[in-house]
Amino acid sequence: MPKFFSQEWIEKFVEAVNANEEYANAAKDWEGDFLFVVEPDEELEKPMYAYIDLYHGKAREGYVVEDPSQVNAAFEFRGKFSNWKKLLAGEIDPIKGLVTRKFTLKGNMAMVMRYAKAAKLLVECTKQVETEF
Amino acid sequence: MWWFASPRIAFGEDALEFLESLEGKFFVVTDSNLVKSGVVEKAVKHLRGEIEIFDGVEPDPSFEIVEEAVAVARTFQPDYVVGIGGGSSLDVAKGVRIIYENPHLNPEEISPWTDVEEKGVKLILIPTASGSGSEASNAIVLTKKDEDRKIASVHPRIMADYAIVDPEMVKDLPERVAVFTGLDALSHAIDAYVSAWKNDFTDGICIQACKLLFTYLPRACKDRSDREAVERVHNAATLAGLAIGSSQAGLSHSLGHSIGGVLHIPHGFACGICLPYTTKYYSRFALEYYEELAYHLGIQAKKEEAVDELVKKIKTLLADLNVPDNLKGIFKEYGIGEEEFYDNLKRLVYNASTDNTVLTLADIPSEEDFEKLFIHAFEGKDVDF
Ligand SMILES: [Fe+2]
Repeated sequence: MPKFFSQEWIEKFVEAVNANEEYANAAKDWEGDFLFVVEPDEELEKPMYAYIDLYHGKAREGYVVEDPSQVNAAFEFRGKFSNWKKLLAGEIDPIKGLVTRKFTLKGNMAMVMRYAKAAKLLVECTKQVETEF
Repeated sequence: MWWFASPRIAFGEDALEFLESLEGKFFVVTDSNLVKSGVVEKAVKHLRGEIEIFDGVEPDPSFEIVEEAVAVARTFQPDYVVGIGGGSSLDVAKGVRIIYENPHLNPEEISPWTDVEEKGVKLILIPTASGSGSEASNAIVLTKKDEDRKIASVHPRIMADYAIVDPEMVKDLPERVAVFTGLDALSHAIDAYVSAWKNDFTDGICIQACKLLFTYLPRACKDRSDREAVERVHNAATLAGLAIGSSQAGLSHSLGHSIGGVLHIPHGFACGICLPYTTKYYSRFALEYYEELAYHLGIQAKKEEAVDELVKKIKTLLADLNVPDNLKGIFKEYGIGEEEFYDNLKRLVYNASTDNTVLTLADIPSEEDFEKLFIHAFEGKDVDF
Protein backbone atom coordinates (compact mmCIF):
# COMPACT_ATOMS: atom_id res chain seq x y z
CA MET A 1 0.00 0.00 0.00
CA PRO A 2 1.56 3.34 -0.97
CA LYS A 3 2.28 5.80 1.79
CA PHE A 4 0.21 8.98 1.76
CA PHE A 5 1.80 11.66 -0.43
CA SER A 6 4.67 9.40 -1.53
CA GLN A 7 5.63 9.44 -5.23
CA GLU A 8 3.90 6.07 -5.61
CA TRP A 9 0.72 7.40 -3.99
CA ILE A 10 0.64 10.43 -6.26
CA GLU A 11 1.08 8.23 -9.33
CA LYS A 12 -1.81 6.03 -8.21
CA PHE A 13 -3.88 9.18 -7.73
CA VAL A 14 -3.00 10.38 -11.23
CA GLU A 15 -4.04 6.96 -12.57
CA ALA A 16 -7.35 7.16 -10.70
CA VAL A 17 -8.04 10.62 -12.15
CA ASN A 18 -7.21 9.48 -15.67
CA ALA A 19 -9.46 6.45 -15.35
CA ASN A 20 -12.41 8.59 -14.27
CA GLU A 21 -14.57 9.35 -17.29
CA GLU A 22 -17.01 11.41 -15.29
CA TYR A 23 -14.14 13.65 -14.21
CA ALA A 24 -12.81 13.84 -17.77
CA ASN A 25 -16.16 15.14 -18.95
CA ALA A 26 -16.85 17.51 -16.08
CA ALA A 27 -13.35 19.02 -16.41
CA LYS A 28 -13.10 18.89 -20.19
CA ASP A 29 -12.15 22.56 -20.49
CA TRP A 30 -10.29 22.85 -17.19
CA GLU A 31 -6.78 24.28 -17.30
CA GLY A 32 -4.92 24.71 -14.05
CA ASP A 33 -2.40 22.88 -11.94
CA PHE A 34 -2.70 22.19 -8.24
CA LEU A 35 -0.42 22.19 -5.26
CA PHE A 36 -1.80 19.96 -2.51
CA VAL A 37 -0.48 20.72 0.94
CA VAL A 38 -0.67 18.55 4.05
CA GLU A 39 -0.08 20.73 7.07
CA PRO A 40 1.60 19.24 10.11
CA ASP A 41 -0.29 18.54 13.33
CA GLU A 42 0.18 16.17 16.32
CA GLU A 43 0.71 13.22 14.00
CA LEU A 44 2.84 14.86 11.35
CA GLU A 45 6.05 16.76 11.88
CA LYS A 46 6.80 18.36 8.54
CA PRO A 47 4.46 19.59 5.82
CA MET A 48 4.06 17.47 2.68
CA TYR A 49 3.46 18.77 -0.82
CA ALA A 50 2.29 17.26 -4.07
CA TYR A 51 2.01 18.86 -7.49
CA ILE A 52 -0.61 17.71 -10.01
CA ASP A 53 -0.98 19.16 -13.48
CA LEU A 54 -4.60 19.02 -14.62
CA TYR A 55 -5.47 19.83 -18.19
CA HIS A 56 -8.65 19.25 -20.19
CA GLY A 57 -10.01 16.44 -18.09
CA LYS A 58 -6.75 14.59 -17.56
CA ALA A 59 -3.93 14.64 -15.04
CA ARG A 60 -0.81 15.15 -17.14
CA GLU A 61 1.69 14.57 -14.37
CA GLY A 62 2.13 14.49 -10.64
CA TYR A 63 5.08 14.45 -8.28
CA VAL A 64 6.24 15.02 -4.75
CA VAL A 65 7.43 18.53 -4.08
CA GLU A 66 10.11 19.20 -1.49
CA ASP A 67 10.27 22.95 -1.77
CA PRO A 68 6.90 24.58 -2.58
CA SER A 69 8.59 27.83 -3.61
CA GLN A 70 9.86 25.96 -6.65
CA VAL A 71 6.37 25.41 -8.07
CA ASN A 72 3.94 28.04 -9.16
CA ALA A 73 0.61 26.24 -9.33
CA ALA A 74 -2.61 28.04 -10.24
CA PHE A 75 -4.46 26.49 -7.30
CA GLU A 76 -3.49 25.46 -3.82
CA PHE A 77 -5.56 23.14 -1.64
CA ARG A 78 -4.34 22.72 1.92
CA GLY A 79 -5.41 21.19 5.21
CA LYS A 80 -4.12 19.52 8.33
CA PHE A 81 -2.97 15.90 8.23
CA SER A 82 -5.82 14.75 10.50
CA ASN A 83 -8.36 16.42 8.21
CA TRP A 84 -6.84 14.84 5.10
CA LYS A 85 -7.26 11.47 6.79
CA LYS A 86 -10.91 12.21 7.45
CA LEU A 87 -11.36 13.44 3.88
CA LEU A 88 -9.94 10.23 2.44
CA ALA A 89 -12.12 8.20 4.78
CA GLY A 90 -15.18 10.08 3.51
CA GLU A 91 -15.81 11.58 6.95
CA ILE A 92 -15.51 15.14 5.71
CA ASP A 93 -17.51 16.37 2.75
CA PRO A 94 -14.99 18.33 0.66
CA ILE A 95 -17.27 21.33 0.19
CA LYS A 96 -18.31 21.44 3.85
CA GLY A 97 -14.63 21.04 4.70
CA LEU A 98 -13.86 24.19 2.75
CA VAL A 99 -16.79 26.15 4.12
CA THR A 100 -15.90 25.27 7.71
CA ARG A 101 -12.23 26.09 6.98
CA LYS A 102 -10.88 22.62 7.61
CA PHE A 103 -9.36 23.06 4.19
CA THR A 104 -8.48 26.14 2.22
CA LEU A 105 -8.44 26.61 -1.51
CA LYS A 106 -6.63 29.43 -3.24
CA GLY A 107 -6.69 30.40 -6.89
CA ASN A 108 -9.21 31.73 -9.36
CA MET A 109 -12.53 31.06 -7.64
CA ALA A 110 -14.60 32.09 -10.64
CA MET A 111 -13.01 29.07 -12.38
CA VAL A 112 -13.65 26.78 -9.44
CA MET A 113 -17.31 27.81 -9.14
CA ARG A 114 -17.80 26.68 -12.74
CA TYR A 115 -16.07 23.37 -12.15
CA ALA A 116 -17.28 22.53 -8.65
CA LYS A 117 -18.38 19.09 -9.74
CA ALA A 118 -14.96 18.36 -11.25
CA ALA A 119 -13.32 19.52 -8.02
CA LYS A 120 -15.48 17.19 -5.99
CA LEU A 121 -14.73 14.26 -8.29
CA LEU A 122 -11.03 15.06 -8.03
CA VAL A 123 -11.19 14.79 -4.26
CA GLU A 124 -13.14 11.57 -4.60
CA CYS A 125 -10.30 10.11 -6.66
CA THR A 126 -8.08 10.32 -3.56
CA LYS A 127 -10.47 7.90 -1.87
CA GLN A 128 -9.82 5.34 -4.58
CA VAL A 129 -6.13 5.14 -3.73
CA GLU A 130 -5.44 2.59 -1.05
CA THR A 131 -3.45 4.56 1.43
CA GLU A 132 -1.14 3.89 4.30
CA PHE A 133 -0.84 6.82 6.68
CA MET B 1 -19.63 20.47 11.83
CA TRP B 2 -22.31 22.30 9.88
CA TRP B 3 -24.48 25.40 10.22
CA PHE B 4 -28.02 26.55 10.27
CA ALA B 5 -28.32 30.29 9.84
CA SER B 6 -31.27 32.63 9.73
CA PRO B 7 -31.94 36.33 9.44
CA ARG B 8 -34.16 37.98 12.05
CA ILE B 9 -37.55 37.43 10.46
CA ALA B 10 -40.51 39.78 10.88
CA PHE B 11 -43.56 37.98 9.48
CA GLY B 12 -47.29 38.33 9.22
CA GLU B 13 -49.54 41.34 8.74
CA ASP B 14 -47.87 44.68 9.51
CA ALA B 15 -44.38 43.14 9.56
CA LEU B 16 -43.32 46.09 7.40
CA GLU B 17 -43.77 48.36 10.40
CA PHE B 18 -40.58 46.88 11.82
CA LEU B 19 -38.70 49.00 9.28
CA GLU B 20 -39.72 52.12 11.20
CA SER B 21 -37.39 51.09 14.03
CA LEU B 22 -34.34 51.48 11.79
CA GLU B 23 -32.61 54.70 10.94
CA GLY B 24 -29.97 55.61 8.38
CA LYS B 25 -29.38 55.69 4.64
CA PHE B 26 -31.25 53.06 2.67
CA PHE B 27 -30.14 51.83 -0.74
CA VAL B 28 -33.11 50.05 -2.30
CA VAL B 29 -32.45 47.42 -4.96
CA THR B 30 -35.47 46.50 -7.04
CA ASP B 31 -36.90 46.46 -10.56
CA SER B 32 -38.77 49.15 -12.44
CA ASN B 33 -42.05 47.20 -12.71
CA LEU B 34 -42.34 46.97 -8.95
CA VAL B 35 -41.71 50.68 -8.65
CA LYS B 36 -44.38 51.45 -11.26
CA SER B 37 -46.95 49.14 -9.69
CA GLY B 38 -46.53 50.84 -6.32
CA VAL B 39 -45.31 47.71 -4.52
CA VAL B 40 -41.94 49.25 -3.65
CA GLU B 41 -43.70 52.26 -2.13
CA LYS B 42 -45.55 49.96 0.31
CA ALA B 43 -42.20 49.20 1.95
CA VAL B 44 -40.34 52.43 1.28
CA LYS B 45 -42.95 54.52 3.12
CA HIS B 46 -41.83 52.79 6.32
CA LEU B 47 -38.17 53.71 5.89
CA ARG B 48 -36.90 56.52 8.10
CA GLY B 49 -33.96 58.27 6.48
CA GLU B 50 -32.39 59.10 3.15
CA ILE B 51 -33.39 56.73 0.35
CA GLU B 52 -31.84 55.96 -3.03
CA ILE B 53 -33.63 53.54 -5.36
CA PHE B 54 -31.81 51.40 -7.93
CA ASP B 55 -34.51 49.86 -10.11
CA GLY B 56 -32.36 48.30 -12.82
CA VAL B 57 -32.70 44.64 -11.81
CA GLU B 58 -33.54 42.37 -14.74
CA PRO B 59 -35.02 38.86 -14.71
CA ASP B 60 -32.23 36.23 -14.48
CA PRO B 61 -29.93 38.97 -13.15
CA SER B 62 -26.34 39.00 -14.32
CA PHE B 63 -23.06 39.56 -12.52
CA GLU B 64 -22.82 42.87 -14.37
CA ILE B 65 -26.01 44.23 -12.85
CA VAL B 66 -24.55 43.72 -9.38
CA GLU B 67 -21.53 45.81 -10.33
CA GLU B 68 -23.75 48.47 -11.86
CA ALA B 69 -25.77 48.74 -8.65
CA VAL B 70 -22.62 48.78 -6.49
CA ALA B 71 -21.31 51.73 -8.52
CA VAL B 72 -24.45 53.69 -7.61
CA ALA B 73 -24.23 52.58 -3.98
CA ARG B 74 -20.64 53.85 -3.79
CA THR B 75 -21.69 57.45 -4.25
CA PHE B 76 -24.67 57.07 -1.92
CA GLN B 77 -22.81 55.23 0.89
CA PRO B 78 -25.72 53.41 2.50
CA ASP B 79 -26.10 52.01 6.01
CA TYR B 80 -28.65 49.53 4.72
CA VAL B 81 -29.05 47.67 1.45
CA VAL B 82 -32.73 46.85 1.00
CA GLY B 83 -33.72 44.26 -1.58
CA ILE B 84 -37.36 44.46 -2.59
CA GLY B 85 -38.61 41.97 -5.14
CA GLY B 86 -38.75 38.38 -6.21
CA GLY B 87 -35.65 36.22 -6.18
CA SER B 88 -33.87 38.39 -8.75
CA SER B 89 -33.84 41.66 -6.82
CA LEU B 90 -33.06 39.90 -3.56
CA ASP B 91 -30.11 38.07 -5.10
CA VAL B 92 -28.78 41.29 -6.59
CA ALA B 93 -29.15 43.05 -3.21
CA LYS B 94 -27.16 40.22 -1.61
CA GLY B 95 -24.46 40.67 -4.21
CA VAL B 96 -24.48 44.44 -3.74
CA ARG B 97 -23.91 44.28 0.03
CA ILE B 98 -21.00 41.86 -0.21
CA ILE B 99 -19.29 43.63 -3.13
CA TYR B 100 -19.92 47.08 -1.65
CA GLU B 101 -18.09 45.95 1.49
CA ASN B 102 -15.39 44.19 -0.56
CA PRO B 103 -14.61 46.44 -3.54
CA HIS B 104 -11.82 44.24 -4.81
CA LEU B 105 -13.92 41.09 -4.94
CA ASN B 106 -15.18 40.08 -8.36
CA PRO B 107 -18.78 38.83 -7.90
CA GLU B 108 -17.90 35.74 -9.92
CA GLU B 109 -15.28 34.94 -7.29
CA ILE B 110 -17.74 34.53 -4.43
CA SER B 111 -17.22 30.98 -3.30
CA PRO B 112 -18.48 29.56 0.00
CA TRP B 113 -14.98 29.88 1.45
CA THR B 114 -14.00 33.31 0.13
CA ASP B 115 -12.62 35.56 2.88
CA VAL B 116 -14.68 38.73 3.07
CA GLU B 117 -14.69 41.82 5.22
CA GLU B 118 -17.77 42.95 7.13
CA LYS B 119 -18.10 46.70 7.38
CA GLY B 120 -21.41 46.95 9.16
CA VAL B 121 -23.73 47.55 6.22
CA LYS B 122 -26.98 45.77 7.03
CA LEU B 123 -28.97 43.78 4.49
CA ILE B 124 -32.78 43.82 4.60
CA LEU B 125 -34.70 41.59 2.21
CA ILE B 126 -38.39 42.03 1.49
CA PRO B 127 -39.90 39.41 -0.81
CA THR B 128 -42.68 40.45 -3.19
CA ALA B 129 -43.34 36.88 -4.26
CA SER B 130 -43.74 33.69 -2.25
CA GLY B 131 -41.17 31.44 -3.80
CA SER B 132 -37.45 31.90 -3.97
CA GLY B 133 -36.94 32.00 -0.21
CA SER B 134 -33.93 34.13 -1.07
CA GLU B 135 -34.79 36.41 1.87
CA ALA B 136 -33.86 33.58 4.24
CA SER B 137 -31.01 31.78 2.52
CA ASN B 138 -27.30 32.35 2.14
CA ALA B 139 -27.49 31.41 -1.53
CA ILE B 140 -27.13 33.64 -4.56
CA VAL B 141 -27.81 32.78 -8.17
CA LEU B 142 -26.51 35.06 -10.91
CA THR B 143 -26.37 34.54 -14.64
CA LYS B 144 -23.24 34.42 -16.73
CA LYS B 145 -24.76 35.96 -19.83
CA ASP B 146 -22.18 34.93 -22.42
CA GLU B 147 -22.40 31.30 -21.27
CA ASP B 148 -26.21 31.13 -20.86
CA ARG B 149 -25.48 29.66 -17.48
CA LYS B 150 -26.70 30.35 -13.98
CA ILE B 151 -24.04 30.17 -11.33
CA ALA B 152 -25.11 29.45 -7.78
CA SER B 153 -22.97 30.12 -4.77
CA VAL B 154 -23.40 30.32 -1.03
CA HIS B 155 -21.62 32.43 1.56
CA PRO B 156 -22.42 33.32 5.20
CA ARG B 157 -22.20 37.05 4.37
CA ILE B 158 -24.92 36.59 1.76
CA MET B 159 -27.44 35.98 4.57
CA ALA B 160 -29.68 38.96 5.26
CA ASP B 161 -29.72 40.62 8.67
CA TYR B 162 -33.48 41.09 8.44
CA ALA B 163 -36.18 39.44 6.35
CA ILE B 164 -39.56 41.14 6.25
CA VAL B 165 -42.18 38.58 5.28
CA ASP B 166 -45.34 40.65 5.08
CA PRO B 167 -48.30 39.28 3.07
CA GLU B 168 -49.15 42.86 2.07
CA MET B 169 -46.21 42.72 -0.35
CA VAL B 170 -47.67 39.75 -2.27
CA LYS B 171 -51.37 40.59 -2.11
CA ASP B 172 -51.53 41.70 -5.72
CA LEU B 173 -49.24 39.07 -7.19
CA PRO B 174 -50.64 37.95 -10.58
CA GLU B 175 -52.05 34.42 -10.42
CA ARG B 176 -49.49 32.99 -12.81
CA VAL B 177 -46.58 34.40 -10.84
CA ALA B 178 -48.08 33.09 -7.61
CA VAL B 179 -48.22 29.66 -9.25
CA PHE B 180 -44.66 29.39 -10.46
CA THR B 181 -43.08 31.01 -7.42
CA GLY B 182 -45.05 28.65 -5.18
CA LEU B 183 -43.75 25.71 -7.16
CA ASP B 184 -40.22 26.99 -6.61
CA ALA B 185 -40.85 26.96 -2.85
CA LEU B 186 -42.16 23.40 -3.02
CA SER B 187 -39.09 22.34 -4.98
CA HIS B 188 -36.87 23.82 -2.26
CA ALA B 189 -38.70 22.04 0.53
CA ILE B 190 -38.63 18.65 -1.20
CA ASP B 191 -35.05 18.98 -2.49
CA ALA B 192 -33.74 20.01 0.93
CA TYR B 193 -35.54 17.14 2.67
CA VAL B 194 -33.72 14.52 0.59
CA SER B 195 -30.38 16.31 0.24
CA ALA B 196 -27.17 14.61 1.30
CA TRP B 197 -26.78 17.60 3.64
CA LYS B 198 -30.24 17.28 5.23
CA ASN B 199 -30.14 17.69 8.98
CA ASP B 200 -32.18 17.93 12.16
CA PHE B 201 -32.45 21.67 11.89
CA THR B 202 -34.11 21.67 8.47
CA ASP B 203 -36.17 18.46 8.36
CA GLY B 204 -39.11 19.83 10.35
CA ILE B 205 -39.00 23.07 8.42
CA CYS B 206 -39.23 21.19 5.11
CA ILE B 207 -42.18 19.13 6.29
CA GLN B 208 -44.07 22.20 7.47
CA ALA B 209 -43.32 24.08 4.24
CA CYS B 210 -44.61 21.13 2.17
CA LYS B 211 -47.76 20.84 4.29
CA LEU B 212 -48.50 24.53 3.92
CA LEU B 213 -47.90 24.53 0.17
CA PHE B 214 -49.99 21.46 -0.61
CA THR B 215 -52.81 22.86 1.54
CA TYR B 216 -52.79 26.55 0.71
CA LEU B 217 -51.09 27.10 -2.64
CA PRO B 218 -54.14 26.34 -4.86
CA ARG B 219 -56.32 28.59 -2.69
CA ALA B 220 -53.76 31.39 -2.62
CA CYS B 221 -53.33 31.26 -6.39
CA LYS B 222 -57.03 31.27 -7.21
CA ASP B 223 -57.97 34.09 -4.89
CA ARG B 224 -55.45 36.65 -3.72
CA SER B 225 -58.00 38.05 -1.30
CA ASP B 226 -57.87 34.77 0.63
CA ARG B 227 -55.71 36.31 3.34
CA GLU B 228 -55.09 33.16 5.30
CA ALA B 229 -53.90 31.20 2.28
CA VAL B 230 -51.74 34.04 0.94
CA GLU B 231 -50.04 34.54 4.30
CA ARG B 232 -49.40 30.84 4.91
CA VAL B 233 -47.89 30.37 1.44
CA HIS B 234 -45.73 33.44 2.02
CA ASN B 235 -44.45 31.92 5.26
CA ALA B 236 -43.90 28.56 3.56
CA ALA B 237 -41.63 30.10 0.95
CA THR B 238 -39.44 31.67 3.64
CA LEU B 239 -39.34 28.40 5.58
CA ALA B 240 -38.22 26.54 2.47
CA GLY B 241 -35.57 29.21 1.93
CA LEU B 242 -34.23 28.63 5.44
CA ALA B 243 -34.04 24.93 4.66
CA ILE B 244 -32.01 25.27 1.47
CA GLY B 245 -29.62 27.66 3.19
CA SER B 246 -28.42 24.78 5.33
CA SER B 247 -29.35 21.64 3.37
CA GLN B 248 -29.18 23.04 -0.19
CA ALA B 249 -31.40 22.55 -3.20
CA GLY B 250 -31.13 19.36 -5.19
CA LEU B 251 -31.96 17.55 -8.38
CA SER B 252 -35.08 19.48 -9.40
CA HIS B 253 -32.82 22.53 -9.32
CA SER B 254 -29.99 20.93 -11.29
CA LEU B 255 -32.52 20.50 -14.10
CA GLY B 256 -34.29 23.75 -13.32
CA HIS B 257 -31.17 25.93 -13.40
CA SER B 258 -30.14 24.33 -16.66
CA ILE B 259 -33.55 24.89 -18.29
CA GLY B 260 -33.69 28.48 -17.03
CA GLY B 261 -30.23 29.26 -18.34
CA VAL B 262 -30.77 27.78 -21.80
CA LEU B 263 -34.47 28.17 -22.54
CA HIS B 264 -35.43 31.02 -20.19
CA ILE B 265 -38.76 29.88 -18.77
CA PRO B 266 -39.63 30.94 -15.19
CA HIS B 267 -37.49 29.14 -12.64
CA GLY B 268 -40.44 27.85 -10.60
CA PHE B 269 -42.04 26.19 -13.62
CA ALA B 270 -38.74 24.63 -14.63
CA CYS B 271 -38.13 23.12 -11.18
CA GLY B 272 -41.74 22.38 -10.24
CA ILE B 273 -42.56 20.51 -13.44
CA CYS B 274 -39.38 18.44 -13.09
CA LEU B 275 -40.26 17.50 -9.50
CA PRO B 276 -42.41 14.41 -10.23
CA TYR B 277 -39.58 13.03 -12.37
CA THR B 278 -36.68 13.92 -10.09
CA THR B 279 -38.64 12.55 -7.11
CA LYS B 280 -39.15 9.17 -8.74
CA TYR B 281 -35.59 9.00 -10.04
CA TYR B 282 -33.84 10.20 -6.89
CA SER B 283 -35.86 7.86 -4.66
CA ARG B 284 -33.29 5.18 -5.51
CA PHE B 285 -30.86 7.13 -3.33
CA ALA B 286 -33.25 8.48 -0.72
CA LEU B 287 -36.21 6.11 -0.48
CA GLU B 288 -36.45 6.32 3.28
CA TYR B 289 -36.57 10.12 3.23
CA TYR B 290 -39.30 10.27 0.61
CA GLU B 291 -41.29 7.67 2.50
CA GLU B 292 -40.98 9.74 5.66
CA LEU B 293 -41.94 12.96 3.89
CA ALA B 294 -44.90 11.23 2.23
CA TYR B 295 -46.04 9.98 5.66
CA HIS B 296 -46.04 13.50 7.04
CA LEU B 297 -48.15 14.58 4.09
CA GLY B 298 -50.78 12.01 4.94
CA ILE B 299 -49.67 9.20 2.62
CA GLN B 300 -50.03 5.80 4.25
CA ALA B 301 -48.29 3.69 1.57
CA LYS B 302 -44.78 2.37 2.15
CA LYS B 303 -41.51 2.26 0.23
CA GLU B 304 -41.77 2.71 -3.56
CA GLU B 305 -45.54 2.98 -3.31
CA ALA B 306 -45.13 5.96 -1.02
CA VAL B 307 -42.91 7.59 -3.65
CA ASP B 308 -45.49 6.89 -6.36
CA GLU B 309 -48.20 8.43 -4.19
CA LEU B 310 -46.01 11.46 -3.56
CA VAL B 311 -45.41 11.83 -7.29
CA LYS B 312 -49.17 11.61 -7.81
CA LYS B 313 -49.73 14.26 -5.15
CA ILE B 314 -47.31 16.63 -6.89
CA LYS B 315 -48.99 16.02 -10.25
CA THR B 316 -52.41 16.65 -8.70
CA LEU B 317 -51.12 19.94 -7.32
CA LEU B 318 -49.83 20.88 -10.77
CA ALA B 319 -53.23 20.06 -12.26
CA ASP B 320 -55.01 22.12 -9.57
CA LEU B 321 -52.76 25.02 -10.51
CA ASN B 322 -53.44 24.56 -14.25
CA VAL B 323 -49.81 23.75 -14.90
CA PRO B 324 -48.86 21.00 -17.36
CA ASP B 325 -47.11 18.05 -15.76
CA ASN B 326 -44.53 17.86 -18.54
CA LEU B 327 -41.99 20.23 -20.01
CA LYS B 328 -43.40 19.98 -23.52
CA GLY B 329 -46.62 21.60 -22.32
CA ILE B 330 -44.97 24.48 -20.52
CA PHE B 331 -42.44 25.08 -23.31
CA LYS B 332 -45.33 25.41 -25.75
CA GLU B 333 -46.72 28.24 -23.64
CA TYR B 334 -43.39 30.04 -24.08
CA GLY B 335 -43.09 29.34 -27.79
CA ILE B 336 -40.42 26.68 -27.43
CA GLY B 337 -41.05 23.77 -29.76
CA GLU B 338 -39.95 20.15 -29.75
CA GLU B 339 -37.12 20.86 -32.16
CA GLU B 340 -35.67 23.63 -30.03
CA PHE B 341 -35.73 21.35 -26.99
CA TYR B 342 -34.00 18.46 -28.72
CA ASP B 343 -31.51 20.81 -30.41
CA ASN B 344 -30.51 22.05 -26.97
CA LEU B 345 -30.70 18.73 -25.17
CA LYS B 346 -26.96 18.14 -25.11
CA ARG B 347 -26.31 21.52 -23.54
CA LEU B 348 -29.17 21.06 -21.09
CA VAL B 349 -27.69 17.75 -19.99
CA TYR B 350 -24.18 19.09 -19.61
CA ASN B 351 -25.25 22.19 -17.70
CA ALA B 352 -27.48 20.18 -15.36
CA SER B 353 -24.84 17.55 -14.71
CA THR B 354 -22.29 20.22 -13.82
CA ASP B 355 -24.66 22.51 -11.93
CA ASN B 356 -23.41 23.20 -8.41
CA THR B 357 -26.57 21.70 -6.93
CA VAL B 358 -25.34 18.21 -7.89
CA LEU B 359 -22.71 18.49 -5.17
CA THR B 360 -25.21 17.86 -2.42
CA LEU B 361 -26.89 14.87 -4.03
CA ALA B 362 -26.26 11.47 -2.48
CA ASP B 363 -24.84 10.47 -5.84
CA ILE B 364 -24.35 12.46 -9.03
CA PRO B 365 -26.46 10.96 -11.84
CA SER B 366 -24.60 10.05 -15.01
CA GLU B 367 -25.07 12.22 -18.07
CA GLU B 368 -27.00 9.36 -19.61
CA ASP B 369 -29.47 9.46 -16.72
CA PHE B 370 -29.72 13.24 -16.94
CA GLU B 371 -30.60 12.90 -20.61
CA LYS B 372 -33.28 10.32 -19.84
CA LEU B 373 -34.64 12.52 -17.08
CA PHE B 374 -34.95 15.49 -19.42
CA ILE B 375 -36.66 13.39 -22.08
CA HIS B 376 -39.07 11.79 -19.62
CA ALA B 377 -39.91 15.17 -18.11
CA PHE B 378 -40.35 16.63 -21.59
CA GLU B 379 -42.57 13.84 -22.88
CA GLY B 380 -44.38 13.37 -19.58
CA LYS B 381 -43.37 9.72 -19.31
CA ASP B 382 -43.12 8.06 -15.91
CA VAL B 383 -39.54 7.46 -14.81
CA ASP B 384 -39.01 3.74 -15.24
CA PHE B 385 -35.25 3.48 -15.55
FE1 LIG C 1 -35.36 27.66 -6.61
